[in-house]
Amino acid sequence: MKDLTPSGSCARMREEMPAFLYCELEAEARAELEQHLTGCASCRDELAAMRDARVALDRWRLASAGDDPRVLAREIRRQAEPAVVVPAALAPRPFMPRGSHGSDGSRGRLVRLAAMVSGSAAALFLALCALSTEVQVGDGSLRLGFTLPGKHSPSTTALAPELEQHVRSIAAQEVAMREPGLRQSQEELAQRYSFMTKEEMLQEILRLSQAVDVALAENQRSWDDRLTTLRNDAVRNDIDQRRAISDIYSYIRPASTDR
Amino acid sequence: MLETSTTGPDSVVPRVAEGVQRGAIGPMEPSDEELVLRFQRGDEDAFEAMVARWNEPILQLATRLTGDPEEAKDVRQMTLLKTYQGLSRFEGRARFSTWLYRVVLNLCRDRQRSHDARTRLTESSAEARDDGDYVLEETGFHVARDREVASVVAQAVLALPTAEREVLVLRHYHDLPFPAIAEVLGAPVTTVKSRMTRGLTLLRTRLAALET
Repeated sequence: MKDLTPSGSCARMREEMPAFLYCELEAEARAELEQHLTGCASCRDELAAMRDARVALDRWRLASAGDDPRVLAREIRRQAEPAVVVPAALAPRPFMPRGSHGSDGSRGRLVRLAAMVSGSAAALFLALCALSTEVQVGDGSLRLGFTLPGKHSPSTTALAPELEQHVRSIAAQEVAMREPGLRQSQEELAQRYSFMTKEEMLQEILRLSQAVDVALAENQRSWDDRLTTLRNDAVRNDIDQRRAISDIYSYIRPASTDR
Repeated sequence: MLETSTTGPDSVVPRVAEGVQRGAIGPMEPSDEELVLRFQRGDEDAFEAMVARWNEPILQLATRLTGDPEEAKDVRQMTLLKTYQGLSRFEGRARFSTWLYRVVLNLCRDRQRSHDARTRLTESSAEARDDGDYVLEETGFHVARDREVASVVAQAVLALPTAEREVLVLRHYHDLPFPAIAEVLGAPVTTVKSRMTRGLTLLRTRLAALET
C-alpha cells in the first residue's frame, strides 16, 4: 500500500506553497521548492489543488456597498458625542390609561379628563410661579415654600445637593449593573488569547482591568458633566422664571394703581 | 469543474477587486499615520478621509468573516466608532492598519461566539438577493451560474475553522502579506503560513465535495 504521509521534506515544502502561490517566497526558497516539485508528483498534485482553491476564491466577489463616507463619518461623530441619557427613574412616562383600546366614547372621556387634569396642573404651576414657590424633596416628603412678590426670592441652591445625591445613586446603580458584564468580557478575552503564555495572559488581563478602571472613571466624569449641566439649567430656569414674574408685575402694577 | 494548472504562481489570474485591498492608498494621498496625526491636531476632515479609505475594506472583511451583511454593517459601525474614539490616544506602536484589522477581527469573533452566523449566510446572502443592498457581484452574462459558484465558494470559505478563515481572507481578499497577518494576529509567521496551507487544502476538499 502506498504511504500517503508526506515525508519531512514534503511537509516543509507544503508549508511554503501558499507563499509560493502569492509570490512571497524568497528566490532561494522558491528555487528549492521548484527543484523539489520536479521530482515529487505528490507535491505537484498538492500545489495544483491549492492553486485551484486560490482560483476559486476569486469567484466570491462582493459588490461595493456604495455608502457615502461623509454620511458615515457624520453618523459616527453623532454616535461618539456623549448622549444625555435621562435615567429611567426620572424619565417622563407616557400616559397609558387602562382600557385604552376601548370604545371611542371611553377614549373621548379619557381625553377630556386628561385635558382637565393638564389644565389644572398648568394653572397650579402658574400660581406657584407667581408666588415664587420653592419645592424641596427630602425625607420622603414634599415641602413647598412661598415668597410673596417683593420679598427676598428663595434660592435654588438648597435643592442641588439632594438632586446631586439622587443622580449619583442612579449612576452608582448603573456602574454596579455593568460590572458583571465587564468581568465576563475579561474572561472571554482570556480565552481568546489562549495561545499566549500564562505570563503574557496575566499582563493582558492587567491591562484590560486598567482599561476597565479608566472606562469607569470616564463614566463617572460623564455623570459629573451631566450633573453640572442639570444644575446650570436649573439656575437658568430660575433666572428666567424670576424675570418673567418681574415682567408680569411691572405690567400688572400700573393697571392696579390706575384703578 | 474548477480550472487546474501546474505552471508557476504567475499564471494564477484574477485578483480581488481594486480598492478593497488594504484600504488602497494613491501615491499622492497621505498615509494612515499622517491622517491620524492630522486628526490629533484637530483636523476633523482627516477622519472623513479615513472613513472613505477604510469603510469598504472593513465591510468586506466583516462580511467574509461573519457571513452576514447586516452583521458586517454593525461591525463596520462599531469599528469606525472605536476608531473615532481611539484616534486621540493612538500612539503608533503598531501600524494603524494592523490596529484596525485587529479591531474588526475581535468584533467578528465576539459576534460569532454569540451565534452561528455562518449558517445564516448559506441561507440568505449567498443566495440570490433582490434587495439590492449588498449583493454578490454579478459579472458577464452568466449571472445565475456566477451566483451559484459564488455561493458554493462562500459556503466553503465560511465552513472553514475561524483561524484558517481569517488568514485566508486577509491574504487573498485584502492582499495582506503573511508577516503583516502575523502582526495582526499576534502569531508567528510560520503559524500563519501553516493556517493558510491548511485553509487552502480544506477549501479544495470542501469545494470538491460541494461540486459532486
